[in-house]
Amino acid sequence: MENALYVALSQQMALRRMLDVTANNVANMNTQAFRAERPVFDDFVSRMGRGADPTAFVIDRATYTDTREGALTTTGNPFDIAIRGDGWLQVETPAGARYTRDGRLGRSADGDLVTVDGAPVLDDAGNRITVPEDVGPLTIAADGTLSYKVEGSEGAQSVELGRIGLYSLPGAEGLQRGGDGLVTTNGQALPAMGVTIVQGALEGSNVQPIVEMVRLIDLTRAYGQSVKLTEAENDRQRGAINKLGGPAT
Amino acid sequence: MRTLDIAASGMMAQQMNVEVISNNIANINTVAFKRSRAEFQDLMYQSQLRPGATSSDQGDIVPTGIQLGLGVKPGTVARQHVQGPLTKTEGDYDLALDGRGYFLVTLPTGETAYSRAGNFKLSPEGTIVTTDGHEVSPGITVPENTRDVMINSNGEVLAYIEGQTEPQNVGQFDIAMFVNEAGLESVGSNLYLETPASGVPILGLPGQPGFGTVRQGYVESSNVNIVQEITNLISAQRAYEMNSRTVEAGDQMLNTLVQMR
Repeated sequence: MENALYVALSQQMALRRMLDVTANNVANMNTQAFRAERPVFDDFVSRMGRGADPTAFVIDRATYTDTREGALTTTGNPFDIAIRGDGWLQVETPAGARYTRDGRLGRSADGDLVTVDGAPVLDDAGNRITVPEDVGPLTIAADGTLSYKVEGSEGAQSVELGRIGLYSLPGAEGLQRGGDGLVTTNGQALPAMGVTIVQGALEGSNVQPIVEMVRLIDLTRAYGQSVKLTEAENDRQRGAINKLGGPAT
Repeated sequence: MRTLDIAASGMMAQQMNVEVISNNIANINTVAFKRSRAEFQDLMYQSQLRPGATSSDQGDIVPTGIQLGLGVKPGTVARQHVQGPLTKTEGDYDLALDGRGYFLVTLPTGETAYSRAGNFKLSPEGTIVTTDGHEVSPGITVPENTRDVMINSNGEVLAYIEGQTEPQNVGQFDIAMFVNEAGLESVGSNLYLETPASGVPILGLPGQPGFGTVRQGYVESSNVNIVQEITNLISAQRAYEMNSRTVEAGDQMLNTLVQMR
């Protein structure tokens, strides 16, 4: 008897969750290398009592990540890199190895190559990369090799510092997100093939404002309809109680 | 309600249109740039009643049916490989191709890229290279004590060396043609790569039948027509605005629905 209210309630809870995901996407519209999330809804069918018709409730099963690449913007900063293709940088955190696509690199006080949050970026063997002081502009090649120029006896020589490790992670849509643009994987991280690095550019967010705005409008109206359903059901029950439950005349 | 999604697809298509136009305008002074054009297709249709279905057992056929469109999608962003105007620069190694064909550029990876940007320079060894330092096929080296260099319309490089009256032919540029030029892949830096869509390169020399000729002292400017781009920009902007009106109308209709008593 209470089914209508519970179905409407399940819709409202699912819409609330969808609104949270949309708001998070909109808030991160300008975050470097952010990937939009999409909710996945499903209907949850249950039978109330023997022989009764099944009732379908809404359940939000999961969210999955939109894995499209964001737009590249050139910044000109030699420490900014953008990854083209399906590859991730491996960084070392106190909680273990994490992966990120945020290419804003820098040099820590100890000389390690770090991300903007200070987590050291690892090379293809899993070690930290040391950048000596005062070496002038670094060149980062398309395969991740770092080098810098040194004035030698025959002229400028190139000294290699190592290769930034690029990994491909299985199941890109279902990676677990931590904060700060880091993701964790339970699977095996393999060296990435066919992935290039662009120096002096950054990958932007892949949030599409139009899609999020239209979803917001959709949500607001769907929420209004759900509230309407709840109110109508409430009125119906109250009317039924008043008409049928009053003292016999 | 389909309106919101259809209008959203329209806005995204116009956004892509404006992005292509702004790339064209940004490259209005790039040597040998070829403008792009975004072309759209209607997305797909849901048939609630198919035209041609029978409407009675006498064999009467439904003449038109009910088909609802679901929006727009980008079909292609196609490059227009039209010859750009030639600009006189009087540089010794500035070459413009008048007609069809591409210079062959050897990339550091060993691959061959194709380019129409003929603003070449000399490497420290005297080889003719592009502005990025990539060697231009077949690798022509100008000897050290050269007074003057003349490149004729067949792409032959004639060097006038100190102490000699007759010029010395130090090489001839190769050029390549493609059956489907629009199928070349742009990789930036004024370079194109061959793809299965473009067909195999047809190699030849400038001046041969069908191939263009080389003009020394000129460069090919971009073929972007600024008036056309601004007009397209205005049209795309208005289309974006109209699609946003559709979104608002759909929103108001849903609002009316919710407020019904």
